[in-house]
Amino acid sequence: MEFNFSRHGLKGIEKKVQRLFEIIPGATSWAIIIGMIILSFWEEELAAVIIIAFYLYWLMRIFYLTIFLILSYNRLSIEKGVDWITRARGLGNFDDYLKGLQALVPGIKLKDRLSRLFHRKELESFKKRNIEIPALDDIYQLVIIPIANEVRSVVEPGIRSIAASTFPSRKILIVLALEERSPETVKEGVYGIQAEFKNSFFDILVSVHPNGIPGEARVKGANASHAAREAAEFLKSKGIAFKNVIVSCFDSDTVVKPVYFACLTYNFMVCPDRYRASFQPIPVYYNNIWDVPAFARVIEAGSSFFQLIEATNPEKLVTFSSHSMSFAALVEVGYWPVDMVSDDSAIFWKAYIHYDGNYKVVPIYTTVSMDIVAADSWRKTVINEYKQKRRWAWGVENFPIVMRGFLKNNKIPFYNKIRLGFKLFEGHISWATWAFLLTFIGGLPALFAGKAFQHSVLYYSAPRVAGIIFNLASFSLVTSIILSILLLPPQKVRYRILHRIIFALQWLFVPVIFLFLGAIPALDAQTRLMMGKRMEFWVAAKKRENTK
Amino acid sequence: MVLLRKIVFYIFVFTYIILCPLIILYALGYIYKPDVETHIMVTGDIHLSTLPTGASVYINDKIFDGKTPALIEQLSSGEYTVRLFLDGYGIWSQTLPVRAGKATVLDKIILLPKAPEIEIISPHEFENLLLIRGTPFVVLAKSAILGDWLIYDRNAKNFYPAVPSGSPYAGYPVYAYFTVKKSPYVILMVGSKSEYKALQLDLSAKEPLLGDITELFPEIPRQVLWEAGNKNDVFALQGEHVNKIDIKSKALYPEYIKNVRGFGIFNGSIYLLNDKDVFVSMGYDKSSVKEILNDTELGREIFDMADYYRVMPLPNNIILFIGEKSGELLANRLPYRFVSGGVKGIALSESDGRFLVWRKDKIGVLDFSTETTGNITFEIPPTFEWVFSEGSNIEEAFWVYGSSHVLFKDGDTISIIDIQDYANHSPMRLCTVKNGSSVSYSEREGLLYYLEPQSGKFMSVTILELQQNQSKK
Repeated sequence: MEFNFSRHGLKGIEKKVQRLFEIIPGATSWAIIIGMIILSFWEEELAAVIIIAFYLYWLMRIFYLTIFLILSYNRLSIEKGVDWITRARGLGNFDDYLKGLQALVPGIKLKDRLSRLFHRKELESFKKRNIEIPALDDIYQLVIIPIANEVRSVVEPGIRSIAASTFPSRKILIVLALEERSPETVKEGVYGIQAEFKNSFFDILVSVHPNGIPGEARVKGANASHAAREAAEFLKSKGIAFKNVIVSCFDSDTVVKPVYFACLTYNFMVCPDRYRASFQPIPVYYNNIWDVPAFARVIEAGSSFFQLIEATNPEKLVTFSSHSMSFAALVEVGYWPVDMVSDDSAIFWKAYIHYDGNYKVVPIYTTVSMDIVAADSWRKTVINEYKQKRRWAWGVENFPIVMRGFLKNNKIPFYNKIRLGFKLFEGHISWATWAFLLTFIGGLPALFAGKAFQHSVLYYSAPRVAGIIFNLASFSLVTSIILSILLLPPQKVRYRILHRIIFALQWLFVPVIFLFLGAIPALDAQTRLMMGKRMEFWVAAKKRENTK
Repeated sequence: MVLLRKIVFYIFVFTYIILCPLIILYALGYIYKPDVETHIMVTGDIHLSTLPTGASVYINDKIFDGKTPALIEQLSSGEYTVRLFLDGYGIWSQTLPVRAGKATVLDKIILLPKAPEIEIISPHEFENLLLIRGTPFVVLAKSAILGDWLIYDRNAKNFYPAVPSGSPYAGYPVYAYFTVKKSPYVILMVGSKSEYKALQLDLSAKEPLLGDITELFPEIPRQVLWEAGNKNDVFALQGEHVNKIDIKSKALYPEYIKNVRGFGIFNGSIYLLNDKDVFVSMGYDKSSVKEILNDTELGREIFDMADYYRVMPLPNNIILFIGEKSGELLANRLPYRFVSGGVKGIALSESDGRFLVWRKDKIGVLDFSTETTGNITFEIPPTFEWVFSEGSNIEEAFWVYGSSHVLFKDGDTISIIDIQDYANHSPMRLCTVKNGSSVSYSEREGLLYYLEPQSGKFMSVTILELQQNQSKK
């Protein structure tokens, strides 16, 4: 369906519908927070009952998520040592390769055995559906790296990591997408990278996104789209079919594992709807993890966990941060939105509506590592973290557009509209409200308790029930601590056991962090959207120690 | 994974649907009991908290598994005999009601030691002590002569004389004194009615005597008022008029207000009842006059023409009136008259704003707090309740442990009563004090200061075993 995936250029009822859905998330979050405060004051008993019901819901929800966090982590561990390029090559001789997989291999580790099992099942299922597999040799990787203010030391490690890929780097085209307004030092760094690494890849292009193109905002998506268009011209000139190109849009600080593109290629090849799918790795924020304050580590570990959990639910998975997709699909849907801050998730929704619901996100069990926002001082790091989280939460801008698309598109099944629309809505509401409910609103009925409530059984039982729930919830917290330590990158020599202990203890900050760097930025973003205020793209300051 | 996720999801949804109402019902006091007809019973709780903590709890002679503070849950409706035991302390016993879904709360139980901790603060013999509420000072008098007056600072725990021994005023007998709650200043009238001197003391100073202010008091006043934070603006009631005195500039404004039948000050305002039964407020400089009551008929119905009223303006626009002759207690809230006569004193609870009112024979509680639910309702009037009616000569009373207990001096006997809901209001005798002497209670320290009956020694007895008192042991 042709759909204007933008808040601009709307008229009449469509404009009103857009505005209505812009107001709904913020209004709902505020209604929940203020409503519960008022209820705690006027009807303490009812408020206490609602809070118990909510706490239990929250407990069940985090147990549920913890189960899938563990499963997803295990899957990530199982797939950790896989030689993806061998698997991708094996698909070229499918039947023999499958037979090889079906044969027993004695003496291999359990995790390797499980990995083989998943792989074999995948191929057997694939064979039954009799779907054509593209040839590995035909596939090209296009990597677009939008750069605004990031200096060479931030960008270069990512380029080096791509060059070290097990996927042939000579079939990787890199586009360094500069902004015309980028500082000269940044531009120099980019051209320096181009000169140094040009021969390591199929090519490195540098695109310069002009300022002030009508209809565009100062957002990353506009730069990426401009770069993608230039890449399209280049690919055309080289006679490379778009359907054979997988495009990845990376944050400038993204560092990939050597297997990343091989893993991506394999998943692309075995994905039956490969031209109607995005591929989502697990983002982790480990590039500078030992150089940032504890609170920043906790919140970014939480973000990684969120994606790990989401990976287990491909039916509702949405692209986030660095992701990949068929270049043919990107061109068909009209590239990334050029007036939205949250281009990473918006491209999924744009494609979903464009293809009438026939579009999905495929999780790929490998990580891409990025920087945690950091600054020279603790205070500035907090401010930067806050701004980054508010930008992430600005993903709520998708909600009114997606709702408008759902109302307009009659081909998307109603059940899917409800399911995905609710998830999008509920995700943002819980982001903005849960920390408030869990930290201070939960205690308000007792604080405002009148004599009647103070002399009720509920007044005494509610804190005890809450205490039991929170104690049970600590199981999830302990699990998170363990997994976060297991996921940590190898330590530098100077960081030893002490740092890992500190890393575990920092999780004690969770309630405060999720209020001040979770709920409040989300509520801030929703309130801005509700009030009709806009957010320009804010470029996160990233700092790494001991890098060139 | 998708299938597994769906299965687990529905299991969790099902579990939540089952668990959530069960937990809420449990929190509301519902339990499953096979031996009752409906199998479901709504229970109640008893919450007990003691000072000191750690008392064993017996419910209907069965020991409860836990020490105070204790929450005894899942009790069926009815009456329960509760007893508390703690080594070295008297047994606390009471019959408490339990109602379905409700908690019977006694969260400020004071366990009294079998052998109260008594400390001799001064071995000298004193005749009386002067209480200044809201300050750390106790004035101790060996006799009526000013030179025999000592000041005891409870914070610094030291004594110093009210006037230096060589002072020309040291030999004067004290005729009258005036104090104000929370103010360290005392205005003394020394000498005799016909030949007197007015002196100002600052109890917080090392040399308390500030000076002779006799020229500012042409007569011995009936009442002297100032605000705790403002020692310079002083109002003296003399006959039926009020003189304004500026202590700082030593200025006297005679007959500043005339025809006074009631007088009080609060937050920089004068509150005045005149002989026309008109009640007004105004600034100290007589500006911003506001008529609060200008209905002669109603005024006459409320106030006794023949009486003078001490006016006590309070926060939340509450104004209390105590008749000087009749001792009646009135307020600017319906039904206006709360005690018809005999009131000897009142004390405000800092913790919940309730007033302790005492007469010779009774102690009562006046409560202006009204609970609103947000619904349209009839306004709840202030409540007044006598909590003790068996006194014979109650002279002083104090709030203790917030506003949960009342400590009072009845004749020479000091007693305490628990006035919490559900508590029986029978007094527990604590000690006897020197005949005719006053007492002083410090909530912050949990100590009662008094004079020993025979020797007149200055003593303290521990009423509340607060942390600092426990650590002293």
